[in-house]
Amino acid sequence: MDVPRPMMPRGIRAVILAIAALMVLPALAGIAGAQDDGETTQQPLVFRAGTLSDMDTPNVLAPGGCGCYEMMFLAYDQLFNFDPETLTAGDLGLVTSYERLDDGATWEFQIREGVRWSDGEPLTSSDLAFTFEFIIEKNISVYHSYLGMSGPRDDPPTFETPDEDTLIWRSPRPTFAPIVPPWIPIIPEHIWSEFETRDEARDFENIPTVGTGPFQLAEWEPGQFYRLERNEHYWGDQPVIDEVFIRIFENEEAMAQALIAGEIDFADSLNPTLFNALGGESNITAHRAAAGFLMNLAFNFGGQGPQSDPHPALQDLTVRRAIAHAIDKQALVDRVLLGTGTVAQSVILPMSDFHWEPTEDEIIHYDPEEAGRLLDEAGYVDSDGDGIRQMPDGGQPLRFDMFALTSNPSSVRALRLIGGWLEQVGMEVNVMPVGDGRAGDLWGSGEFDGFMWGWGPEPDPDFMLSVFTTEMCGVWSDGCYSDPAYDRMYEQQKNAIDPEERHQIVTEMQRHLYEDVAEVILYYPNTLQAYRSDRWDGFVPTPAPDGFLIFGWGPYSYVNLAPVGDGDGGPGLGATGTTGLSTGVWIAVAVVILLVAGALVVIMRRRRTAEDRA
Amino acid sequence: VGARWYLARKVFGAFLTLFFVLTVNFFLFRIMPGDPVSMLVRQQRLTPAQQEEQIRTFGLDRPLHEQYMVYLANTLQGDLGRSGLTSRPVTQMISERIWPTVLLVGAGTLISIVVGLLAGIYGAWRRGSALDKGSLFTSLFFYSLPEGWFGMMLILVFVGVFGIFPAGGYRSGAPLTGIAYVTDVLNHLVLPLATLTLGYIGSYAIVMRSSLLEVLGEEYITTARAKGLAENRTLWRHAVPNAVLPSVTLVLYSFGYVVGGSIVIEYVFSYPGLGGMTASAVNSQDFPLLQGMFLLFSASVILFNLVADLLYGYFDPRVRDT
Repeated sequence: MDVPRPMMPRGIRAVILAIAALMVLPALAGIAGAQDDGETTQQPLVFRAGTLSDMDTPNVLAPGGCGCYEMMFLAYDQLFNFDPETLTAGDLGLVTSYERLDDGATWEFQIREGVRWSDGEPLTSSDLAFTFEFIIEKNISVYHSYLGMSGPRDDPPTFETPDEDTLIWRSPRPTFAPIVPPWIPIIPEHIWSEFETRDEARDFENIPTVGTGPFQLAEWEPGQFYRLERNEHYWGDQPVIDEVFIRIFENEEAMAQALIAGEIDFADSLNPTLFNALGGESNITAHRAAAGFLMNLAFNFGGQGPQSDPHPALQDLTVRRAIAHAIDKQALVDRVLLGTGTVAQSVILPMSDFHWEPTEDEIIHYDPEEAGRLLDEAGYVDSDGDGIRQMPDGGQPLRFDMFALTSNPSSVRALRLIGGWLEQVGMEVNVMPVGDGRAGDLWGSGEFDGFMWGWGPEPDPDFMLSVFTTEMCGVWSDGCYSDPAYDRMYEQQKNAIDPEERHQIVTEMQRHLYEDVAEVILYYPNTLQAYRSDRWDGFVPTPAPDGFLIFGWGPYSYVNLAPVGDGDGGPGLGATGTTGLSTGVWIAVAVVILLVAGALVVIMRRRRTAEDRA
Repeated sequence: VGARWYLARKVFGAFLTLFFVLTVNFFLFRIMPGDPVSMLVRQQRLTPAQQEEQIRTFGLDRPLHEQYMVYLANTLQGDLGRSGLTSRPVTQMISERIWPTVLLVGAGTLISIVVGLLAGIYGAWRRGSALDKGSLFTSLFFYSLPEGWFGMMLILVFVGVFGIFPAGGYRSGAPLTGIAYVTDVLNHLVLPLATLTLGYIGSYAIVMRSSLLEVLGEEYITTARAKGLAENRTLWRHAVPNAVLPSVTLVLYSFGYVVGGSIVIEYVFSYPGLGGMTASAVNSQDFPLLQGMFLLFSASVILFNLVADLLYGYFDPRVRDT
């Protein structure tokens, strides 16, 4: 019965098996693909954004700050949320109305009714009082200024809650701090009251967050992503999207490619080159968010400490004015930002109601000849013929050590251009590109003549103006600028409860800084954002009309976003939202590798025995 | 007796080195120019109150020898302090990132070792053949490419043009489990792993090829052939075992450096590993974090050096008997 069949050599058999597996491969992939499709139908609606910086910690009251603003805006409310139109105190936070009770030291707030925490517990006025008291008691100093305190040792305000819907805020002196608005996330007493000490509070992981915002943080993988889910108990209209997924990129180019490939719906903080390239894609809308930042050339006025070594020429207004005349700001915007920014004059951003612009007569125009004339007139001449002017006494040359941050490559380029312009009028700049940490050291010790850095000011001008006061030397001041007249004006605006009066003083302060060339405000760079307009619609720019789409000043876009048409907003990339091979393909690949390796081993063994026999 | 003594000597030496590294690691960050307080404390712009807070947190208000004892005690208990930037425990920050790095660089090292050694063996054995020339050229070509640039090219082609693989990251973040999770991680791994592996193969291939060529010229190989031994047996039983020693060293040293990650590749692919964290810690002068990572890297190198020494003693009895 048994007909002996000729044995097929084992090596050949293995190869045939491998080929057979290769043929089965597409079928396997098909099965796996079908499974993925089956899952798509029940998927949550996810909005995916890419950005370059992760949060430091989700603990919103971490003593050193959390670096988690976007998450904070999504998961928490403030006393007042920023009005998306104007970025002033709107009626969109936990307060519905307020009243000034006396000279401005006492304020009474009506708390929104029916607000629940994301765990379902009701919010009352005592949660608000608890939050502010927590900051004072646990000494969370990053938030002190929002409570109208000038430092941790300043007299703190006190809080009363006559009933569940009313909060009374008593300050030791008249203040507008309560309505600025205080940029403090309101936390639930029933969660945070268990922390007795500052250290206990510092170690709180805070996932999932319990807040009153439209979303709550569900997951954080440091360096990778954070994910927020819709808050079912949110007091406002429920958002359309179920989840917000923020993915961290180290590499801007990779982020742009991910946007093109559809892995993400939104890319934040692009560089001008990528931004212009993405603008050419038909399904992508590139958005130049109105300036939320300023870049400045700061001078050292000295006083930081024993190592501080400011150049004497920079103490002279004439030299500072000459430097301002020698800088072509428009060229910086055109050549460094490729047009994605605007020329700047004032320390208060154009988006603010308090912004001041010099008149045509007041502007210190780009005029190298005028710069040279000013310096000649004041006696800064080049007496030794090396092309660099000296101090009027013929001594120290006008040679300045200035640093710029390598983490902001455009500022290094800008400072090099500035160095070139100053050289043309007889001054020399030693441009020092430094890392963030080194920059902090130089700035702190005062071992520099100037630097190029920037600020991302808050909507209210108080903080930005405070930076130039004498008291801020060694705290926030750029180069320890000090002027008693300016300091007086700062105090006046801080005590001015009447908005008109305050506006007037703030205007005067900006003019003062400009005319005294406390520093040269160079330009306001746009924040460059891009999104898949074939998928999403309904972004709310904050502030109106052309501010940040997201990563700005509130949750408004996320609440309003909707998929375009009847689409699901998804790219059909399956549950993961990313590209990649399906499980079936991976299994097939593994099978093929094993078979090929097996075949090789068999062949080699056969050959070896064959050789041994021979 | 010789073997046991050899083992004891090597293990003791490793512990001594580790203790030395531990001590240097502590003093290094305090000897470097600049005020140690400001170096450990100042990053970004801190208010005086925040600085005081940091000084207290890091125990910098205490005398140096006391700080050293505390540092030793804490380190032995696995407490590496807190990051100067995020205030999160260094041990936790490292443990979040170590597995992606071990997966990426470990798998890359392993694959390139296997492929590289085989290519080197085959190249030496069939020296001058088309395959030898081809594999030598290819491996050297990839070896000499700047890996950052090569990675970017892979992204442009496989993400931008074909859209087959993700642009970076370790996993997608979707709530996946089991095989779907593995698939997701694999998909994210392909491009960085390819960049890394292709770049590494060359170094192993070259070392293996040259040491095998040397051995193949030895007289005992000629003797083996003259005895009429099969070619395969001559290669695998007689030539390769003697040629593999330099590669063993190289391989184990490479494994020692696995936890160090790959700064460039992790940056290009936004891969959340220790290499990328080292780079950002350097940039932000986060000294507690750097200190912790240096310790880990040194310990890993010391450990694999020890293993290399012990294996050497096993492979080459002359070493342990001297």
